[in-house]
Amino acid sequence: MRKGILEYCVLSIINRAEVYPTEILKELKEAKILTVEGTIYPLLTRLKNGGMLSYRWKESHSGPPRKYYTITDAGKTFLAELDLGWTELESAVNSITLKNSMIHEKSN
Amino acid sequence: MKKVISMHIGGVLFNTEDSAYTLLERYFAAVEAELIKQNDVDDTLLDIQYRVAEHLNEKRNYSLDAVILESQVLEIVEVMGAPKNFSSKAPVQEVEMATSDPEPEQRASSASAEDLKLILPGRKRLYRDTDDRIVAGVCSGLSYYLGISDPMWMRIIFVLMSIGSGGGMIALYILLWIVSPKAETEQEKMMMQSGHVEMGNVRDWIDRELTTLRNGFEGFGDNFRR
Repeated sequence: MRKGILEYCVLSIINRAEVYPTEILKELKEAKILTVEGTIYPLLTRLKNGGMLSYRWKESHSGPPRKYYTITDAGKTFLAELDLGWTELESAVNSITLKNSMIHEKSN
Repeated sequence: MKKVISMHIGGVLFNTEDSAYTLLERYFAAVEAELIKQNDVDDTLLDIQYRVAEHLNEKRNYSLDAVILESQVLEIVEVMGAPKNFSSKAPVQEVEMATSDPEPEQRASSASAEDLKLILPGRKRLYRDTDDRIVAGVCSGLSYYLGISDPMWMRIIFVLMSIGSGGGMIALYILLWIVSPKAETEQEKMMMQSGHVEMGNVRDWIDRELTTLRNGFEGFGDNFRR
């Protein structure tokens, strides 16, 4: 997977709502972008250390305490850059691959 | 029939089989070793442990009386994934997408020679091996330290020399007893046996156990006595 995609997805999820890692994992798995859970923990730590995220602890009913993450202003700025990067990538790839369907039409 | 260990993660009590506990210890040791290598430690290990605690809760249906089995811990370890994929410096290409690779498990478990490098390099340490002891595990630990395969030789030497030397040899034994610590945690046992906490040790071991679990082979529990 291309570098930065997981960060992009994780920041997007946290941007929408305050969440804790298990909820992030659920969404990533449903989108089939992650099979192995352990990966996101160093990633979240790195984003937090980079000032993109902040968190607060919340006690849980019958389980261990939970870290609820929110995105910081710096994180929002970074997310906007990632958005742009993704859009640019998408249009670059499309401009090449859309021609594939044109070839099929020609050969028909 | 197995012993049960009472332990907690994040203040939540869990009862686990003794071999299940050992497996968790080894897994967390491997995770920690990998995180240290990448300077990622911080709270990350704790976060991972808390996630494992949530999995454990699910496995036992939130019932405090239920004893968590080794097979259940193996399932959790598989879901959490191999520590070598955790670090921030691992190229993101290594993250497996569910749809792209038909056999992601095989790719994750075939560790390259790079992955098996020493994590905590060092010399072999003298510990007492109380899992294999007659008195205090001194001869057992000393055998590991000196690279002798069977502790029986050390014991024979000690006994023979005690007969000749009066109290001297016994005093030496007691000295060694005092000076060498008991190898209790999995990390210490690895240091005693080979001098390093090697990713390969733990990962291969987990892989083997996952394979035998999948083959439905019941005898693997015996390997856990050490």
